[in-house]
Formats: sequence, C-alpha cells, structure tokens
Amino acid sequence: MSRSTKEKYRRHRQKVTYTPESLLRHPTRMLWEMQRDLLASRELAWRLLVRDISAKYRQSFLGFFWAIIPAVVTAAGFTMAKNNGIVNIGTTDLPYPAYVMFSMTLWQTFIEALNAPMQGVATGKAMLARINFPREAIILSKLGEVFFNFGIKLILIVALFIWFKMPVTASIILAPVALIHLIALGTFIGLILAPMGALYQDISRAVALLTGFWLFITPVVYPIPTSGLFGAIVKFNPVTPLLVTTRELATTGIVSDPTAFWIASIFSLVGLFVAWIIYRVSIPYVVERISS
Amino acid sequence: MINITPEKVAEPDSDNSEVVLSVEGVSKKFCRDLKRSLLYGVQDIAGDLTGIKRKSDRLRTKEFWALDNVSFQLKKGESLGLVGKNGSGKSTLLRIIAGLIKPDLGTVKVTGRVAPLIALGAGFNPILTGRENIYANMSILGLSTQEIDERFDDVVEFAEIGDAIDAPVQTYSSGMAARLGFASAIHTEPEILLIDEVLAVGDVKFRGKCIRRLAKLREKGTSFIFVSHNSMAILAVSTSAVYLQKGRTLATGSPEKIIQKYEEDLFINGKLTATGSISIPEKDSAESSGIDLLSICFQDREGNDVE
Repeated sequence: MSRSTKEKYRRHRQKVTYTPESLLRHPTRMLWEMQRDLLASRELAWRLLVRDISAKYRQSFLGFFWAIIPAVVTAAGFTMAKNNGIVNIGTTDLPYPAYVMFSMTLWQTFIEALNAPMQGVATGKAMLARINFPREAIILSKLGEVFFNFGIKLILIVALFIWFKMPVTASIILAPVALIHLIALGTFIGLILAPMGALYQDISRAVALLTGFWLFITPVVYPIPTSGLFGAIVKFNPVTPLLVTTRELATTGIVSDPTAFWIASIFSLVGLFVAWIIYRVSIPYVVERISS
Repeated sequence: MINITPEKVAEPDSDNSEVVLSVEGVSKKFCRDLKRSLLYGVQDIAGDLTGIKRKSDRLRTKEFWALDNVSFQLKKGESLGLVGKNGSGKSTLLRIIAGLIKPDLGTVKVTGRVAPLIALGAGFNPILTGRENIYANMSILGLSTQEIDERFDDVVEFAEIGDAIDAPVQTYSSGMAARLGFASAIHTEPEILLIDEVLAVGDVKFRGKCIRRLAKLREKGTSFIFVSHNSMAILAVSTSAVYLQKGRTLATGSPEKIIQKYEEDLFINGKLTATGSISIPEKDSAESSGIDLLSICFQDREGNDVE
C-alpha cells in the first residue's frame, strides 16, 4: 500500500464511534468504510498469504503436487470407467481425459473459492477475537491462495494442451474473466455462509455434503446434457454457464450460451457485494461468541 | 534509545487535556447458555441486516448484563486502571473499546489508534521464524511493511531474542515467544493501549523493562487502560482507576483509593475476616522481588496468636 493511502486510512481512524446502531442506517458511510477497509487490507492480506503459503509448503514434502493430483486421479478414474463401458458418457468436444482434467481443475478452483471465506474465518478466529483489523484481509488472503493454487494447476493445463495437441484460440485471453466470475460465485456463497459457519458446525458439514452432490449436477465429467429433467437441473445450476464458458473460451473459442453466462455473472457479482455487507455486519456478533 | 527510570518520568502536561476515549453509558448483555447465545447471535445479525432492531435494552431469557451503564473518560497521556473480580466485565469493556464487539447500549468514542496488548502473539505461526512472525503480527496490528522495517531491530532487541530470530517460533521457550509478542505489540506505538494482564510476561527483569517502556510511552502521550489483579502494578502505572463489580461501576477515583476499596472487598468476602492472621504462599524465585511477606499475625506475650 502506498504511504498516502495508509495515511488517509490513519487520519480517518483518528475518530471512531461505536454505537449499537445498525451499519445499514448510514449507507454512504458504510460504503465509504467498505472501500477504505478493502484498500487498507491489501498489505495485511499479502502478509497473511505469504505466511500461510510458506507455512503450508514448509510442512509438506510433496508440495505443489497436491494441487494437481486430484484432477489427474479423477480423470484417470473416469477415463477407465468410460473406456470399459461402466459409465455411459456422451462425446465431448475435447479428448475425454483432457476434458475431465480441465473441468475438474476449474471445479476445484470454484470449491476452493467457496471454502475460502469459511476457512479464513475458522483459522483466523483467535485473531478476529482479539484484534480489530480490516476483516476483508482474511478473505483476500484466502482468495490469493485460491489464485496461487490455480497458478500451479495452470502447469497441468499447459501440459494438457501440449500433450493432446489442443489448438489455442485468441479467445483464451478472455478466459480469465470467466474464471474470475466463477471464483466470484464461489466466494459469494462462501462469504454468505462464513459467519454462520463460525457459529454452527452444521454449516461446514452441510457444505461438504452438498458440494459433493453439486459436482454431479455440473458438467465436469460429462458434456452438457441437452434434454430431460436432468438437463434442466444442470442448466439451472449457476456454476454450469461460468465453468463451461471458461472452458470454451480457453479451448474451442465458441461460447455456447453467452446469455446464461452473463446472467450467472451478474448474479455472482451482485451476490458477492451483498455477501460482503452481510459479512461485515455479522462479524462483531460472531466475535462476541468466540472466546478470545 | 534513551533509558528512563520510572522515578524520572515526568507527568504529562496538564494543559493537554484532550479526551481520547469517552465511554458513555455502555451496556452489554451476554448469555451463558451456549445454544441460546448462538441463537441470539443469529437473531441479532438478522435484526441488524433488516434494520429492524429489537429493543436491546431488555434482557432475553438467560441473559445478564456483563456491563451495565459504564461511563468514564480518558485523556491524553492518562492511564486508567480497571479493577474487579473475574467476570466483572473488564475484558468485555476492553473488547468494546477495541471495536471488536458492539455495545448494546451507549456509545464509545475513540480518537486515535487503539492497540490491544490483549493479543500477544496473535497470528503467530509456530512453523515460521521469529522474523516472519514479527512481520505478520505487526501487520495484523495495523503497521505497513515500511513501518515494520523501521522498528524491526528495536523489536528484536527489546524481546532479547538475538540469533534465534531466524529459528521457527516452535523452538522458542514460552517466555521467548511471549516476549516477542509483547515486543511486537508495544512497538506499534498507538494512541491508546489496552493492557489486559499481560505484564505477567517473562521474568522480573523483563517485566521491569516492560513497565519502564510503558512509562516512556506515557510520557510521549500514549494513554492506557490497564487491567490487572496485581495491585502494585495498578498503583505503579495508573493515574486513575475504575472499580467494576458485576458489570457496574462501583467506584471511580485515584488508584490508591480504588485499590484500597477493592482489597477491602476482597478480604471481607474472603476467609480473612475470620482469622487474625494472613499468610501468603511463598513465591518462586522468578516471581519474587527479593523480599516477600509470608505472614502477618498478632501475638500475645506468651506467643499465642490472637484471633
């Protein structure tokens, strides 16, 4: 952070008033504080990110390997099952193993983004209970970790493109936009659940259960179904257009359903903003209930 | 660094009577039943989000006032001692002042940065080195990287960590880790320091150093709120004191007066009224200040204890 931003932050912090009043009563002040805290939390988020990543890799022998291997294992399993006729999966626009590995990587990134806020609050509990730092920092740092992990997964994706000799289209430069929307959707859901998840353990259990099911109604190991009730469910799933569009932009370059993509994107981004407000309002009540 | 002995500490300028903290009629309710407490939490969040806040001045089932209409002011360079038994609301009050939790009634106005010395070593990761942890910890306490760079050497020197700074914190003794936490926190140089029982860190020598450091900060105009069960510490550091009992302000005034009252209450409610003697358990060498009072009693001419 530049010194001037920090100074500005400081100067505003000169006078603070704590009242029982709801933050939503003063929307302009709330918005101002939100953008201020977001700016102020960047440096702390970076520190926390560096701290968490170095601690994680210092305690791991295989390190980066763990970011890649789940997608490879899933792809190997499904490819075997498909080749032996155990599962009946239609044809995909990419070679099947590449299709599964790529989709699985995107799916994993979505799930990581979904779990990021809850994990951040859970691991940062002691800090949250004792120090009044910008609460956005733990979320940003966890999101940083999601992007970092995706960076590692990118190695796998590049390898896939080379191995399966997949053509690269110009549209690949737009793929990150779609990916960010996919991460926004995950963060939105995670952020809404994070305060509740800090109070009730049921939330994390339910999330683990539901995300397992969610994978099956998302075209990750199979192509988009075109008909039937199942097709409708898959189509209604907001992850579908975001994940599929990211995949299409990176590979074929033909976006099959741009309207659905934009609806899902707006839903995700607006949702993320609302979830942010809910998160800010909820944290003091959560802190009250976790011992310091 | 200039070393100042406590005797030489000048009182802050009396004309500088700027109020840095004002607590007005603050109340906070808690619930001891966990299930209910969580449910009330969800209710409060929902109320806050919809803007329909239920009356917060009434207690719900199984709730009690952890703080009840507490008011006081703190001026620049002043140091306020908070005394009271466990559960009298001291820590709750500090948490409200730090902005961690919202008051149910009343207002807290803070001017300047508040640093909690409640949170020693918050964010310490045992896997990482002392150096990395200083950066993470001071960053959480609100310093920029540049500011940490400037203070880094002072922190290491103050904590007396030496070469161990590049070893993982999990290899530190508990005293070393605590010293590092204290050193990081105290070097953030805030306007208001909230100190909750942390002067129990380290050995006598380090504690003396901490007290000298606090005196130096006070001279510079830092205000303190100080929570301790140690009467001597309160008397040494505070300029005024507040006595809390069950969340209510029982008395406010000079530290001597308040400590006296507090100790009277402790002894009246304790076993000491029944006997004519006091005996204090022997302290170990690390805690002892050299001369310890072990017992006091009255005896008649034959050497029998007088009740």
